[in-house]
Amino acid sequence: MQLDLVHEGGVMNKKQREKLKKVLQEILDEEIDLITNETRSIMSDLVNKEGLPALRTAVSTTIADATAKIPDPALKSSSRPPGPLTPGRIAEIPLGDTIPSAGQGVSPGSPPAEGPGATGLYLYGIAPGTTPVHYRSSGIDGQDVWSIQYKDLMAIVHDCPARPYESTDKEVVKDWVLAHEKIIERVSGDCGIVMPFSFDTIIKPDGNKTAEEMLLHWMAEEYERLESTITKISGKKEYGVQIFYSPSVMGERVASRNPAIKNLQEEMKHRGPGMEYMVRQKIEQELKTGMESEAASLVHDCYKKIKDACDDVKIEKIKKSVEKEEKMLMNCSCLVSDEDYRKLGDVLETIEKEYGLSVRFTGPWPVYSFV
Amino acid sequence: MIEIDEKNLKQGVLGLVLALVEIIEDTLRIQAVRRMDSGLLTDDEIERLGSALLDLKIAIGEIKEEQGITETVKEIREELDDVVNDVVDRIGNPERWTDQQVPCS
Repeated sequence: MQLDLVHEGGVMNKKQREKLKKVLQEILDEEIDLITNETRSIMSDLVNKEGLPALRTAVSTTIADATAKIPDPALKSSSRPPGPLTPGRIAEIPLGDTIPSAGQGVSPGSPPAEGPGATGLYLYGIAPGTTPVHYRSSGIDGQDVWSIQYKDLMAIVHDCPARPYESTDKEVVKDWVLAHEKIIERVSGDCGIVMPFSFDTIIKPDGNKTAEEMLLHWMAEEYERLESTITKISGKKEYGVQIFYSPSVMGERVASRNPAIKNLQEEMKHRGPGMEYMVRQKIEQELKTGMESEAASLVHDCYKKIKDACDDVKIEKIKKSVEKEEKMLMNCSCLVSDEDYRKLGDVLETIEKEYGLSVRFTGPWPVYSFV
Repeated sequence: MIEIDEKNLKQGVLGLVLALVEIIEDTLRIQAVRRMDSGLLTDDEIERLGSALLDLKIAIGEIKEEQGITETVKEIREELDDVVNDVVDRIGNPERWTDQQVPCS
């Protein structure tokens, strides 16, 4: 909406506005001083009584947590930036760090077992098959990648210290994530299918059990779930579908279809600026509700169409875009069998043509969203 | 020891005040449109109401511009939106009441 409606004959002219501004400014300044003076003692009391002890506890807990996770003092303050390759995706995957410690109550503050023999296993994924996998020096940081067999499943791993990979250097993390992806791809090629795990999934030894025993124990416990997941995803790949709309185009369409808005636009002409402003508010209100219901019905239609062409659809979060002319309407991950891949492409093309939306179709990805 | 930068504080407080003024302005505007819809106002009254609201909007915009807090006010309003969304979400979903006590009997 334009704001160039500086009018001389209005209720307030420029001079009066200046005055109003000055008065408002003075009131503001006074109020701020007043509030600050009145509340100064209360604030400092509050900060001393409540804030500081809470802060202290929070700081000490954080430090305890951090030290519990990272024995190496050099890494104590480093926080791991999200993987640059597929950041949102990785963050959303459950079963992140150190599986065995979850639920087994490693109390914060107690340092993890260390020393010779206390090594962990970095888990890339689970694949079906019985032919051992061995990729010499091709894992993260050139580690030897090998497989641990449980029944007809293999866990693809490399030996590593029992702590997460962390670095403040984005490039280093990027290389790690890329190496992780590469192994996933290679396993997928060799075994036909792989159930990928998120970057930095590390199995820790616990008590007198080695990491390998922990992993085997976990695979035995979860065997049925792992099996059914692999059956579900076999012969399928994941694709990302993001649908965007242009607010101005949609606004025009809604306006042209809504007679009330047309009437208001007529009404607005040849009126005083005050009246024009008020009528414009009404138009914007109408437009907003119109666009909301339009967007809702579009999402409904698109979801139905996409769902029909996929084995499974997962709705992801809408990302706020900075661009004004392209807003995200829908974001989803689709599990698609190789035969259905063309079908989905056709459906998306229809969506683009029929509804005037733009579609971003990415993939194939490892099936992170469905394991 | 907590250090407070006075200039920063003033910016923050001014931003907060203006964010509240903007919210009040929104409310006034919504109410004004309702009054207009009720059909009880004459054209002349609507014109005056609209002009006053328009002037208020312009004045707020100028103050924000002068103080260089346009961005701050926007951020505060977004944060407030998040807080309100959170509260509404909590109240609307009884299963979440156990997470945190909500003053609601």
